[in-house]
Amino acid sequence: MSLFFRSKKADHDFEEDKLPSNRKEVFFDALKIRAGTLIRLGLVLLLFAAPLIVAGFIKDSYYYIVQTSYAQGEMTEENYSGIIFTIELFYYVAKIICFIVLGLGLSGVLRVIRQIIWGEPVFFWHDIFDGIKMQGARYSIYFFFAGLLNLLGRLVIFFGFNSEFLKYLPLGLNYVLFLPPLLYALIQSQIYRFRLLDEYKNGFILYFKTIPQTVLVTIIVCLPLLFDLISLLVLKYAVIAIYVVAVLPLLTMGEFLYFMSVLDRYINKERYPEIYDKGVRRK
Amino acid sequence: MKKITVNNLKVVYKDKKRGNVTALENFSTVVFGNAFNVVIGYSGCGKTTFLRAVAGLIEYEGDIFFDDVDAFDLTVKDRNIAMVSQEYALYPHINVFDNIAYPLVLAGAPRSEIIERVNNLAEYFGIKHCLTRKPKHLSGGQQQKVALARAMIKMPQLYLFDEPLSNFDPQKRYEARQMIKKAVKDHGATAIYVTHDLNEAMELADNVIVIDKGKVEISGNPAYVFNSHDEVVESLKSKVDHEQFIR
Repeated sequence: MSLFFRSKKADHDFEEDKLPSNRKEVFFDALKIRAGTLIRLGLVLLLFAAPLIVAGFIKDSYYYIVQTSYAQGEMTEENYSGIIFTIELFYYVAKIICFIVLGLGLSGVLRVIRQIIWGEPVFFWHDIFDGIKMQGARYSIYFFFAGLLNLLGRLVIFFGFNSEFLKYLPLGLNYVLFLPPLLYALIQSQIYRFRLLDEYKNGFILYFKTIPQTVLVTIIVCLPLLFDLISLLVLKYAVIAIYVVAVLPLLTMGEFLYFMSVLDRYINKERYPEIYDKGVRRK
Repeated sequence: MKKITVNNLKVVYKDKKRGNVTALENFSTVVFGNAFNVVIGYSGCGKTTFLRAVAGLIEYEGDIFFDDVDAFDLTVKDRNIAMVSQEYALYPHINVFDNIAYPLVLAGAPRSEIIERVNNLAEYFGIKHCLTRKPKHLSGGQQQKVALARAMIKMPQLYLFDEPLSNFDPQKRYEARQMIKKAVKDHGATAIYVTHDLNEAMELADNVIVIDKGKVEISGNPAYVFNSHDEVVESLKSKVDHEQFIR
């Protein structure tokens, strides 16, 4: 037994100056020392994203069947459009519920990520449940609206304007105006005790103060939309599952670190110096 | 705890090759409470066996009393003991915080209490900056501090040290034993410290117990033992001189 627990030793003491001194270093340091925790977070995310993934899979399967029938001339164009609309409608309504479930999971996951990047102890399941208990309701509201706006955007595409531009405008505005402040709001929830509307309002202000960087982060957040380009269903959902487990926790951590740096600059430095640069070794 | 009284302790090991091996016999001594008791003797004399008997890890004949309570009536948990060996036995796959916190986590302590106590101990031992690291990133000395912090986290009434510094070089060993003694004194606990190094024994001990061939040869305060002209003590002294000459 003692042999099993005989661990390696470093030649020299671990000195304080080896701790990460900026957020980029915090990211790579966490990758190195918290890889296991990040994978566990990925699995938790997969669990909470499962309803969304399953709903997407069912929708795509129906799509495939209907498109095949239509291509073989087994249904009229009118029938085809009607069925597609029904599938989409069901999917986007279901998606609201799936989003809420995902939001609940994310509230727990972000709590753990906060602990990691602040260099604080992680009690994995305790922190997950704490996050859900403290932020779950708020995240559910945010994700409910995200799902609802998605549904409304799709409905406009179906029933809306003749102009292609106007058709996609609401959905576009959703991504340009709703999503970026939402990302800020989600992070603020994990740090401050602001009211929901204040959180979102802050998100708007910070978004407009950092448009280029925040747009870039938002684009990264939206990258999974590209998975729709994968035509082979099994491959598509395998890639999504791998993305959720292996990539999403890292991206989420990177985004958290970015938003923390913005919050440090515009809020913490003046109002909350005790959390300014938290998790980064101060030289 | 005021004292541990050991009367006529006998421990017999069953060995496949050698048959029954008597490790301790007619072993009687008193371990003083709230003091640093050092057990010294040559390899194989029964030092570690004595520690294991006190810890309740092996079967024995005879009596061990924790104050007036027979050790047979106490479970290992009730004895409130922490053991530190030369191997440290740190879990390599979890970080320093989790290693130190482990006994409290097992005991189901509240999270806020765990965090506070781990942070206090890490501060005490100067390893707060190491809390997020895995043991392999730490030097031997730092790992020893982690092992000590983990031993102290549940505030045991008795520490059992089984040659915890035998892997250290002389300079680091000196610093580490000062640290151990201070930590135990600050905590106000009892310690039984096993070593074969007479220097170490004289420096640390409030009470020295010299063992030879499974029996207590002599015991008492360090000055008394050192000046006793006991055969085993003299032999240990000559070994110290010899070792110092080699260095």
